Amino acid sequence: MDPPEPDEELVRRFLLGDTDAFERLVERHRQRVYNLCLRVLGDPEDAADAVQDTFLSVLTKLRQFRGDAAFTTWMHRVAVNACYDLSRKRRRQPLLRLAGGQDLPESELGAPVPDHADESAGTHDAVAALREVPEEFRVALVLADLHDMAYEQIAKVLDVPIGTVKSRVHRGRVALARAMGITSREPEAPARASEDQP
Amino acid sequence: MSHPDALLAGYVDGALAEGARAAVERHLGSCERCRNEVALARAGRTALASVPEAPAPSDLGAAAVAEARRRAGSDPGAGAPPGRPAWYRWAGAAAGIAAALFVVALVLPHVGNAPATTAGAGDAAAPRAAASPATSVETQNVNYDLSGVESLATSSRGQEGAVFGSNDQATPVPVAASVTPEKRISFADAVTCLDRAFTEPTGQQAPEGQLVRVIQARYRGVPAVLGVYLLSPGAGQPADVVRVLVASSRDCSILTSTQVTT
Repeated sequence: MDPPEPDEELVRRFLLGDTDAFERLVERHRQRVYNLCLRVLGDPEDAADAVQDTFLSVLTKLRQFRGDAAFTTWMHRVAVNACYDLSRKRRRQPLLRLAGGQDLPESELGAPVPDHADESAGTHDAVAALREVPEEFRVALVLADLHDMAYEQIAKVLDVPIGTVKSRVHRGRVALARAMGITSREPEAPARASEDQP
Repeated sequence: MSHPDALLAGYVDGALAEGARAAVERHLGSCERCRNEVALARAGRTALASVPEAPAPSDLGAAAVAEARRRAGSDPGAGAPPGRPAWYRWAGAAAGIAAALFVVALVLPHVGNAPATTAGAGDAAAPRAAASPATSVETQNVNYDLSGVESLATSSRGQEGAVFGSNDQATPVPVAASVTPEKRISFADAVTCLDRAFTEPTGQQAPEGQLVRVIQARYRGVPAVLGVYLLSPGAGQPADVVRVLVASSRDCSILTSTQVTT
């Protein structure tokens, strides 16, 4: 079986006029981008909207992609920006809708829509708690711990220093645990700490 | 006391080099705050490991793929595979003619030693025509959802001339299901309906912006009128916002709205 065609080759083919190559890119990354957006935004409909925006942005900006970074890094940056844009829009929308004076379906008022895939025992708390983690920490956390992305790559996606990424991931993990109601665990027990205990 | 926050993530990952790990452990020996945080971070990391991957809807991204094909159809430089469909050959011929006209436009001003002018070059560059006001209703057999409405706005962004110049051209959006079109609504009734739905209750002011496209379709199964507006910041500046308003064509109530910045 032939190895899969690299993303960069599909990009090259698309820029030469092969729209099938663009479709392959979409199919290849749809699942990953959707899960990124789902965990960052916390709502399946918003995630689907952000994915649509992501791929439309990718389509529009692909000619600006110069290959300085891997395509996946660049695409994740576009996806994170789409999530930020949608998140900002959702924060503004309740006021606009109230001004309209009309009732809208609850699902469009920003109320959390249950993600049935996450309701199995033992996962709901983590998924629900993730929504309470501050957005900047949440994005870094999702990329690191759910997408297994290296800190160096996350730094490129977010365009921040790597030390900032590490700090955000750590703060995000702590915030997640606290949001889950974990206030204290067995204390870490490095040698000196143990010795200091009575 | 300073805390090694930037090292704690790597420490929890078990990815620190020996020297850094030893330094963190020395710090943890005397810092209760960091010991607690490391314990919490480990709990958070473990909790995330149990979060499953959710299946993405299979049609996700279809709007972008459709848009890529649409652009390939209207812009031979942006997408068609060599030797594929017949229209590509025509598109190639059209591109050749356009290139020839471009060369003529560049060369003509030099004929007879006439100086090349900025205006000549500008004409050759052929700026897009300004968007035309809507004058008719497009009927689409499409059931929009919020994503589809936003795709309509997003795909229109930055190409007002191409998309809005013709009301006959349907922008591809996700089609949730085949639907039966309602009785055709007149342009005047559609505009009145949009005005009624989105008129501010206090100000009695109709939706601002230039209405460049009116679509009769459905929104989440409800017969609907979609209005696409271009909003300009004023002072003669070009439009920088695309707004899509969606109203029920049955009672002219608001169904949804969205906007994107160009």
